[in-house]
Amino acid sequence: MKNQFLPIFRHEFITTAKSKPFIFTTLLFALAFFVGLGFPDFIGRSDSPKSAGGDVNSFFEGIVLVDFGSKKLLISARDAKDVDAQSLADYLKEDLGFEEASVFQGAAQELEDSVLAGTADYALYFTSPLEYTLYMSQVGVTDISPYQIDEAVLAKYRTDGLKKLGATDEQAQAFLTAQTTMKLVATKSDGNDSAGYTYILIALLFITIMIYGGIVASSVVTEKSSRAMELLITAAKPGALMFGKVLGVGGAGLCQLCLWVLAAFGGYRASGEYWKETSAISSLFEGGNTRLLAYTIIFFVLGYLLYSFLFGAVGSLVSRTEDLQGTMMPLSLLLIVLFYVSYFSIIFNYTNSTLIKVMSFVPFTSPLAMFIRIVNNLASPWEIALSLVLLVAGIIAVGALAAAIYRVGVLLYGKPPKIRELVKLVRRR
Amino acid sequence: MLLELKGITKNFGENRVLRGIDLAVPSGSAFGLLGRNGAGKTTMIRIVMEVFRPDSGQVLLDGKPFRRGMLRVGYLPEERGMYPKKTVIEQLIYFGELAGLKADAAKRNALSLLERLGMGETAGKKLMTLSKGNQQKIQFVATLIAEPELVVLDEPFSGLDPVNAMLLEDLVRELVERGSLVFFSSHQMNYIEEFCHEIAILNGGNIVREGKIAEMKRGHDRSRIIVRSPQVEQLAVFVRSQTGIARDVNLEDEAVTIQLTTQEKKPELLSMLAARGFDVDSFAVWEPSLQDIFVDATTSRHGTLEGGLA
Repeated sequence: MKNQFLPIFRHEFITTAKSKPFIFTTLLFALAFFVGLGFPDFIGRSDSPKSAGGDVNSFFEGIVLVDFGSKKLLISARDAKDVDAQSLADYLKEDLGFEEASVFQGAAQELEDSVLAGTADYALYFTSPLEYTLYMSQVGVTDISPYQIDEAVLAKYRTDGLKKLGATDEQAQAFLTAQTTMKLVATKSDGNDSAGYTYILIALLFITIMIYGGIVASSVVTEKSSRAMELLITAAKPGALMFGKVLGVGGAGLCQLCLWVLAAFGGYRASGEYWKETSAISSLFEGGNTRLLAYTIIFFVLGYLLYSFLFGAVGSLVSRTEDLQGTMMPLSLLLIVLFYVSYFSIIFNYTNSTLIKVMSFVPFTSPLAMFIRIVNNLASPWEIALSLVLLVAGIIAVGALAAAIYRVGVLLYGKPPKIRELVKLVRRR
Repeated sequence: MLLELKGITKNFGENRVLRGIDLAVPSGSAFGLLGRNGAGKTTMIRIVMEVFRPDSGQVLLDGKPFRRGMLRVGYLPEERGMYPKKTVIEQLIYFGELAGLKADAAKRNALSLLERLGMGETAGKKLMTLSKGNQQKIQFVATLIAEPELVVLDEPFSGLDPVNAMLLEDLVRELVERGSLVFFSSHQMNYIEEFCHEIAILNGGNIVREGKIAEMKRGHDRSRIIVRSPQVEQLAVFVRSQTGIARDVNLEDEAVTIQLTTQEKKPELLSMLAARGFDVDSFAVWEPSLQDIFVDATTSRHGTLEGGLA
């Protein structure tokens, strides 16, 4: 009697770890992490990704400059007397490599029509040296050709200006191609590009809590629908059954996570210097991040416990696997909303908002919200401590509630009860 | 060892399932728990198993409040089911561990029980690959794996062929002989009669009859006699003429049923038949079957048994 927790824990751990889907995903993802990080050639990235500006991880890293080699350009300076259309056309052809760049002293409408008709890909209509309209057929999200053209127009203007002041071509060129070297320091973060791995870890926390919670719920339903529950519930205390299952599945999950981390680490090592420049990835693996790794594990464990107790309770209310998805829906939605609010807080940079601050203390939301604040160095030690204390208290409360629901739920067959009926049943017991 | 239920009541909302159950079950015997569907048997069993708490009353073991940890308990629920996708031995070890055994002891017991039931070769197979009858035998092994001192068997032989039933009957008999306390719930009256000396009949949340089967059978009016003979017809004619002894005589199926005017006329009838030289095969007092007793106790149509049981 006393030692029931251990066999239950072991049984659930082994059952989860031995299930075919679990083994399959474990190996698949381990392989994906190892190969993806260790052999970047394999996924089609033959060159080390270049970071613009050294340590700064540029947002535009992945965007490719447009090749103008097959493009035609028209320039009209009909209404801008002080623009030398021909010399500008020559400059743009030379600088950007247009197939053809010619002067066409037409009206704005005529330029637009020729782009529309396809006789030109780009058309510039000047009203003054620094004011012009650019006609092109479409602008894609990642299309930066307007900015390339604009930069060239500006460069031409500046070169002309410098020459007027008496500079030689070389002098003008030297001024215009001069580059700064900037090192970016964000004082409130810990010197790394935190956003990069916050995305990854937040997503990992969310997905794992969701998946392992789902495993807990469906394993309870399986025991109910096979009627093994009739034996279990008389052989062991409901509390031991529930906690054993939650911890057993969680233990298997933690092992899976560790294996993935190891595989990713192995891959990172195998790749040599390849990812060193990509701080979003290298900062995950380079030393000095043990504190964050510890927090990742803490919040995974606590967040998982909180939610899987609820998933277990929900599972106990369902008698057939088909009904599980529907009954789990509110819980899944809660998790999804939490994930997106957290995720967007990083993208739209409101990690320091009151919303996230409040969320970082509420047990259901704190596993993600407090984690974000910690990563961004926005939480003081006492705030972290308070959040953890509240979270643990929340887990104890939810665990007790879940055990009470479980005790009643496992013996109910048929349609899952409505919340009001459930409250009655739990009270009665 | 004596397990007692004292004044147990249990309501589920408006539904009064148990209305004050008093029972005493000694060890070393099989106790039959009878009742129609929905009479409250499973609820009562679950209260003993501590799955439910009674609203009032208590369960005592030798006078002290009973806790499940005080005894090794084996339970065969009416709703059978284990882990279909696990191997037989794997889940037997698990249930053995839950019952308090060490893994190696559980394995040893499981294998020896499987061997006894002629199922040794199924140990490594997945449960769902076995036939229904064999799955039931596995469930039986799970019930008995920890050598339980308190055994609750809910419809243990339903769905089994006679040979399998016999194998399991032997196991149950052994349990009783070893001094275990066996609760036996079934609708198959022949099994109850075979195993149980004592029964309790549960109806409408109350125990309506309780006691030794033999006494229940003997405890009614014993003035009805059944005589079997190759000469039933002549015998019937003769007894009908003896109005001082027989009140009513019926001839059916090679047997004559005679209702005596009083119970004391039995020796007189017997000597008369002998004196007349009738070839009597059997001469017996009519006793109700357990089924008769059960039906009488659990239906409102009292007095269905002539001679009156109520």
